[in-house]
Amino acid sequence: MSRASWGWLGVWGVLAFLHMRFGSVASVWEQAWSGSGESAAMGRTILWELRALRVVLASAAGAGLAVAGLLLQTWFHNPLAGPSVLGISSGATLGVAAVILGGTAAFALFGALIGSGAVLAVLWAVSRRFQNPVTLLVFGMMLGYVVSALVNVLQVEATKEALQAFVFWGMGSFSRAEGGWTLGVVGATLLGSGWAWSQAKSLDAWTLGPLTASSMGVSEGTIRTGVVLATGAIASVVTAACGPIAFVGVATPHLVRMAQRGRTHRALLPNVAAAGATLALFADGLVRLSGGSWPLNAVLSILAGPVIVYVLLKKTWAP
Amino acid sequence: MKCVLSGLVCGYSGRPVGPVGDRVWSDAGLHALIGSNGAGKSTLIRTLAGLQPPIAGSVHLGDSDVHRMRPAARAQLVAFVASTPPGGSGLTAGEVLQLMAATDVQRREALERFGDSRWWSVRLSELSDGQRQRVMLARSFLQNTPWILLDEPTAFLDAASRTRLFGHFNELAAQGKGIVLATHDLHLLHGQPALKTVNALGSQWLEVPTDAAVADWEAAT
Repeated sequence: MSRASWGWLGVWGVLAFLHMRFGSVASVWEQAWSGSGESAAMGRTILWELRALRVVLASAAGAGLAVAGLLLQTWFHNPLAGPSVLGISSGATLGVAAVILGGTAAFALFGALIGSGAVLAVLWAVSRRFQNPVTLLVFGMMLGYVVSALVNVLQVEATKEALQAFVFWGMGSFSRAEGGWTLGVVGATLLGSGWAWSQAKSLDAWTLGPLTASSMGVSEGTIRTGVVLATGAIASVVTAACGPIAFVGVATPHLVRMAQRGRTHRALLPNVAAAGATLALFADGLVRLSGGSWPLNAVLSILAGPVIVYVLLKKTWAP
Repeated sequence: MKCVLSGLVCGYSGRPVGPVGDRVWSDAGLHALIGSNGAGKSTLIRTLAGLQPPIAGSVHLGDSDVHRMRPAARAQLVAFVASTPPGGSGLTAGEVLQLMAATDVQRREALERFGDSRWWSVRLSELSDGQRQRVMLARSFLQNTPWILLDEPTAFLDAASRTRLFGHFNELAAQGKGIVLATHDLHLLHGQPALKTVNALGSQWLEVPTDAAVADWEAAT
């Protein structure tokens, strides 16, 4: 492992420990490790089923979104590409809006999954017609606008309570960690990252442009289908479990590129995943420090915004 | 391995670009494509490389139709260098060459041959256009295919590199490789021992004699 990999893992480890060690309920840590009794059982429940699960969810979501961001930046040849630009988050938002604003908040997560899954199906179907990745990027943005408009219409018709629940979902959070969804996020992240790792050489060739990559034996269709499915699976499951998570996907690959020289996908992928997990845990740590009152997406935007601006100012960008 | 063009019409979305091609090119030599801007040289090269479907007709390398092959199989037969080198890659020259099946010694040799071994650890994005193009030429050479298709590879090169590159063409031809070259450097074609055919693309596909006639044709047009 490279020095950068140890660095990211080290910071992640410290943050994960802090998340486990401290929290709103005092002395959970001591109780959990202190033999038997009711307070020990309670301590263990809080430690493993709340704190540990939240660490896993935040880390897996952050890692997955960051890998998705890297894949999209490579494929689109665009430093500002990320999982939210394809319209997948918008699809999830529409699904959640329809469910929550319709008055059945209990099924919000399924609404997100159905909404983002529908957008994913559309994207996959049309991506074969869009030979030029930029066309697909614009398509995703247009889809996002249409969905936002539909959500606006739904909001006008909604009750005050439903509207509140919807706005709360839109702020994003890792606090809704629950076994099944967490497992789903871990699974999608592993699948997407595993596919990216297996195609690392083809993705490297892709940075030389589609024509050259194709002449080197890279199948354009395989890359297109893989990128759409991998990023789609990650983004839809994460959005369903945590709400639309801002900026992790776009900003993390840039943070990693700043910290290391290697640009092959084998050198980038593990560190992008580790850095995404680290960024998500760090942001969630700030949310927990505020007693859960700061919206996760606001914290992430404040952290990641300057990174994006730095990339734009730096002019020379290479995937 | 012969390159056979049968009733080939190249173009985009049903709109033909350039003349109809019926040719049989033997390997172990250089086949030049000349013609004014917009004559269809790049479109033809991309079609020959199997990177763009033809409007009509076919391209065969040996028994294989390049447009009915999987990319991985096609990459064993034909290498391609685009006219504009990729500017946006953060890979180093060494990392680009490591994408090719070869040993590191062969990769360094190829880089030295077409460019400069000192570029090994330099990112493509930090090299100039001409330097990048020479890395891409080294890359195509390492693909070790019977055919190499080059779309104006000298456009960004300095004068010395151009002459050197044409020297390499003669070596490659001597090794039995077929090279298709779109070019405006007619003076460099002059007197090249590897030169087999000169194809002038215009409203028709004319074959120009390869010797002194190149200069005459240049003067006449």
